[in-house]
Amino acid sequence: MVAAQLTVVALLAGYLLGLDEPLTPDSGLRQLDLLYLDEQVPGVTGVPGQATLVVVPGDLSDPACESSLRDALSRRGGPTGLDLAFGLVVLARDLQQVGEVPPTVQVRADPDGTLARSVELSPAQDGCHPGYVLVDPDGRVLYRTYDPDWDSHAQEQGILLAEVAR
Amino acid sequence: MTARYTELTRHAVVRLVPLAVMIAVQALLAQAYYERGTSWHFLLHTTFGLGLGLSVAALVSTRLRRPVAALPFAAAGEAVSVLPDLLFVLARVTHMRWMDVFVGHIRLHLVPGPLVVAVGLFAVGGWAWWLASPAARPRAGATLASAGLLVTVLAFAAARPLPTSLTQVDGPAWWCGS
Repeated sequence: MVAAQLTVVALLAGYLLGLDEPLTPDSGLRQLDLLYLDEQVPGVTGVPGQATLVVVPGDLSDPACESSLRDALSRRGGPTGLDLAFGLVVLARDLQQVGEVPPTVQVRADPDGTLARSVELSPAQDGCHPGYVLVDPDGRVLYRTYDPDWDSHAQEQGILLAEVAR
Repeated sequence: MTARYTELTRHAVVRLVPLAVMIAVQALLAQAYYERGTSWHFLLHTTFGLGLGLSVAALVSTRLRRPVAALPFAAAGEAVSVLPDLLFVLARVTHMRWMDVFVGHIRLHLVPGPLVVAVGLFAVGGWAWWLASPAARPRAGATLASAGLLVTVLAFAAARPLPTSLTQVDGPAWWCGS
């Protein structure tokens, strides 16, 4: 029993030491799933009257980031995508990099990354990790997280946005 | 021969089946967390809950002056520890601050070195239970379990507060150098 447990601990320790991210991702706040904020952030607003996911999608010249955004947009309204009842806003440094989007998605320019930084997320140009904030129908930011796989976490976002909409 | 075989079979069923179920549950949980991009949460809450359960098992064993099975305590500790995450996925209940009643589910994210605390408690708790039960050294087991729990309490006392404003959130600089 103890040998098995020590093996598990050793494996865990090895795994943790081999992680390519800090032992406390996003200072422990990554995907915390708790609406811990309640503040207005100038320039960061949702779709009026809707609980909204505002995405900072990362460097869209990076194929991985661009692909994530495309996936998220293509799934929107589908069984594995964000429900159309919620708003979706993309903050982009370069609008041309986003390209065409469905009419249910708003793209807003953030050319110097000011808005991304105002929600403590990485501005897109440095190729770092994407994340998002959730904004209530009155325009208040209630949640922020870094999430490198944000495009495939619609279930989580939907649960949080339903709470945001209340 | 038949009686001996029956006894061995009973022993295997009683000891191995619960262990196999426990391992299967861990695999299912790990997969569920992984699919949601939250493997970090899996490591954090499962090891913490298991460690807590094993520490309690060591103390109970010492108190009762007889060996106790580790699995029920470990499973109970883990169940309480991950319950908020199950509520989130299965009942669509977002996390709330009061969910710290589930062995500090929220605050555990904010202690210094959360994974070190959780994995450390798991290691110490398992060792303490082994000392208290199979090794029949209850005093050593209880001392070790108490020490692990004390360090955990101190870590919780040193936890930074949950941010209430974006100005209190660490920006991305520390993780990507921007």
